[in-house]
Amino acid sequence: MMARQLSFQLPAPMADQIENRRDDILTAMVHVVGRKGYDATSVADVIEEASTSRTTFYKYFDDKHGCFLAAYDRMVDRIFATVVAECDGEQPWLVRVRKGLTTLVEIFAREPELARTAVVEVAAAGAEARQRHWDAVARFTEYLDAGRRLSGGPALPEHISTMAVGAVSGLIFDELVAGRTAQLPELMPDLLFAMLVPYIGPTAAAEEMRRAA
Amino acid sequence: MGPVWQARLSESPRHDDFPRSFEAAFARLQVVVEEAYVSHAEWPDQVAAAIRVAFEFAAEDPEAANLLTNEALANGSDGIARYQRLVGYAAGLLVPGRTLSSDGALLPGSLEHSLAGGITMLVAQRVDRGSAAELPGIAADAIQFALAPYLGSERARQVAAAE
Repeated sequence: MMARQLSFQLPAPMADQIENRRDDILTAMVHVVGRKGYDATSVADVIEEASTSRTTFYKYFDDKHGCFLAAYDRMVDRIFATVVAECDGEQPWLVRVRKGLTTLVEIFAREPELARTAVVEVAAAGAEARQRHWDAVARFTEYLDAGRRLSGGPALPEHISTMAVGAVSGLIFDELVAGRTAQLPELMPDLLFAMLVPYIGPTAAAEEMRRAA
Repeated sequence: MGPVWQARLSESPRHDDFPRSFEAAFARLQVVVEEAYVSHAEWPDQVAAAIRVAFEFAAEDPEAANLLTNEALANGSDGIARYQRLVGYAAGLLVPGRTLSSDGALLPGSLEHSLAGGITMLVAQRVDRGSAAELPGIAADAIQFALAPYLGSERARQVAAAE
């Protein structure tokens, strides 16, 4: 059995090449959807952006939708890994939230097409894509939940983290739709306030907002 | 109940006349929200009542709630503009809270939009996952979330807990 499995393994350089080709298509999908919108994007657009062939595209994906879902999953994994790398560990919760949010905003400001695909266009890609979006939101809320014990007062509502992420996501959404993606870092004080206020209250959140300004 | 709704929403095609369907659903929502809002004298109670009826509206008619949230966001720039109007309407109901806050001067101008956006996303998520029926049971969470920046956590929790 082992020998049979090994017999199907490609030499490393060839396997890398295949993986790279698939990656190129996924990257192209994120860029084209961010630029043209999901509905207006065609497989031909993605093929052209990736500088590949129709045959290669259909070797990896059944259709545009399948490709988008794979591209979305990979994009979220990469964003999440980058954010967590900046804010995980032994740092205090407030520092992790500030660093994580700053990292996310910088990624979006640097890559406007990725930002638009991640936050705006995913809604147009159908129910399955939206479920993946909710899963992505849940991954971020798990990290925020550690802030519950900072509130000091009465128990915080169970769904507070979902609404806190929604509050920040809504503000980012409005900026992207208005074409102000490059100016997102300027919104950082407001975003930080929106994320922190449910946990630490308005006075402390305003102090964090002042520091971020 | 949940999986049935989930299947329906997942499979439902986009409305042929989205603008008209959206506006009809939005008008129905505004009527119940405004009736609830004006039935109380104090702003915290007005907001609490408005959130409760909005969550009941979504639970009783998840298709309308889906139209106002997920489907609007999927309908291009026109749908997005309508969705933003919905969030803006909800945000407007929160603005009077600034006069009650001892930290009013510290609050950012975007606060009401962020709170309304957070609550709307919770509704959109529940509706999309086929669990709209749970919304009335978690309305108190949203009330506390909306009021705490103005009143503080303890007072917000008291208002949210009151029937």
